[in-house]
Amino acid sequence: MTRPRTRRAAELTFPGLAIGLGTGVIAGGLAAVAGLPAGYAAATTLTLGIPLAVFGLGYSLLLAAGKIRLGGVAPAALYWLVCFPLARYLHEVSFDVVSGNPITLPDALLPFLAYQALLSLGYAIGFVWVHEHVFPYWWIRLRDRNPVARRYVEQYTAQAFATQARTKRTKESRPREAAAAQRPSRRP
Amino acid sequence: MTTSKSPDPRPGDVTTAEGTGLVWQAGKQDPMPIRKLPEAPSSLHIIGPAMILVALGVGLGETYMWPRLVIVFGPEIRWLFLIGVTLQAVVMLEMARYAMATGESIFFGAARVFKPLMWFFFAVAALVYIWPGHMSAGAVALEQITGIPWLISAIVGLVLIGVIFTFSKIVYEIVEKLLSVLMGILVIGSAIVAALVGTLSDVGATLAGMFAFGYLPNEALTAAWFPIIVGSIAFAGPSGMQQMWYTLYLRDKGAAMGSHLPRIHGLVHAGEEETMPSRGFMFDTDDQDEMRKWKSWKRWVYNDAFLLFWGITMLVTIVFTVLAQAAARQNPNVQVALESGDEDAALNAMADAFSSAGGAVLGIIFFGFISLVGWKGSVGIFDAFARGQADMTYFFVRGAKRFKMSHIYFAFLWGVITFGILILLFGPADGPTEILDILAFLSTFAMGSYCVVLLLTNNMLLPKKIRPGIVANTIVGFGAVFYLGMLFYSLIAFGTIVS
Repeated sequence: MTRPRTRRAAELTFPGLAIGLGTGVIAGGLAAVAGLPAGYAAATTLTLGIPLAVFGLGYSLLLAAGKIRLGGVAPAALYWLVCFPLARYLHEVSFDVVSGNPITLPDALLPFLAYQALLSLGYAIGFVWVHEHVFPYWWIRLRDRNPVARRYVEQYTAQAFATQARTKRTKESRPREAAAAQRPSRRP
Repeated sequence: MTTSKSPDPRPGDVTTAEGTGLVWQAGKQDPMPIRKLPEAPSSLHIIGPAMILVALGVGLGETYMWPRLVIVFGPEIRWLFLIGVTLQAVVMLEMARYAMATGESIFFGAARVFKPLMWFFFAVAALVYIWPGHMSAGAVALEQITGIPWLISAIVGLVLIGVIFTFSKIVYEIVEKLLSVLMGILVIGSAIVAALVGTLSDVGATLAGMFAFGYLPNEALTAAWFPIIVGSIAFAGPSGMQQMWYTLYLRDKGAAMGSHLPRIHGLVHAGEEETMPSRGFMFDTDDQDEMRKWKSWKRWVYNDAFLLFWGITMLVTIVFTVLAQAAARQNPNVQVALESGDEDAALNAMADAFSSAGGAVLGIIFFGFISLVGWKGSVGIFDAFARGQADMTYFFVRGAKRFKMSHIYFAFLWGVITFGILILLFGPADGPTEILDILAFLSTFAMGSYCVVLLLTNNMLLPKKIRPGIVANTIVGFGAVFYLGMLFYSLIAFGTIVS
């Protein structure tokens, strides 16, 4: 009983976790491409990626619980307004720990957090953007065995139904429109 | 909605045409049959054609020109950017009004008013958008990272665009997916980089500067800078004809009455395309339920315009301005290069500054973004160019309806790609800057002109109930005066074109 529930939870939190970790991997990967030491690249990946992944997981849980609207920019912006500065703070501290350096907190903590909070809007938009464009396919895969994924798919398919209706209408009107296209244009 | 049984209907009348039922008489082309509006989609998902407009619009204006002006004149100059982008958001809504109400492109609307207007836009597009400037700018940045000669990557990039679209089933879907991923990377990446290198005071000054209305230092009014500032306002958000192409994306997305028209298929799937009707459609504005659906569609496009378009354009330019400020602090060469207007030197100096601030990785990320902006711009612009020219050719060139819209689209697409490769190989314009300068001039002129066209189409061709209000008309009218006025003031007062 517990295992299916755990599995379902893991499936539902995968997108948020993956986007957060992916952000760290991109930063670390670019560090490696830039010729920086492997240790530096790995530390960047982990210390930035893990906090963002944990908060991304939290986002997915809130989404599954229906506390956050699917695809909504405003709820995501509010969520990351708090979580992005925290993730960056954890990144700064944990990077020092992993690198074996003495921990140095940012000089002016409040301005640092305020600045990160301002930029959180950008991260939030990018996060929702990727969530909405990449992971609908993930929910489709899960919908038969996961009721929350099914709920998401139903919300997405509302749009697809509109498209189907449109295709049907266009095809039905095809002979009439083809005939219209053959008629010479009226001149004023 | 006026109902008329007159045998000689005037524009603005609803009449009954044999075989098609009620029609709406709009201007000088075929009347539009009355059809049902579909229900608007939920605004739950941040997908919409505005995303493509954002992807098209966020280019060198946001990543280079405005950061440059901030370094030279201070962050207070950004109030002009705020005006420029807000004006564009309103224009976008008005473009959407015509396209959603009729399913027609704004080019078709221009032809309904006065056909030479449409041919003017056809000619401007052919003059401005056949140059591979965006691609070469991106390829030069890619060379900085990888060492791959820019000529090779630019040609490969151009061919890749053609191949991707040729083999896609529905062209719009592949454009939307491709640009979505690229924009997602750009937005997340730029936010992270700015979080690593910028400071609160940078972003605070940048934001405060947006509200310094009226700030215009004396130097900004000189022959050296005034044309550049006007050009930069034109580059704020989607420039040139990108707004006009947005109406084609609305049609392919199936927005409102666009749902009654078929979509462009990839070349290998062109046989599946339905026949394109010879004109758009109108809905019954006397029907309460239809007006309810129309309001839902307007809400949908408002979300698209302000959340996606305005918000992301602002965000990207703020981030890049913060990056430029951080770079100027790190490396005085940045300021010198930006002031001198040497784009390549400025980009190099900015990348060096980021490298010294946060390791080589930041310099590489910066060039990666510039390269991404270049390729993304080319994908969107070449597709949109081919879309617009195909639309005008199909509807208004005699005999063109023998072909499918997709075939005409691909003739233009591969034509512009082939021309681009030839220019890259043998063209006189080596550097991207020269190409972009010409583009800025014609962009401004086209923008002033399409504001005039919008006023005409939306006030003359649409039923009264769905025409724009006084506020929207005033803002679009201001746009026409602003773009054309500044362009000609620059010519008369300084004898120079905008750049």
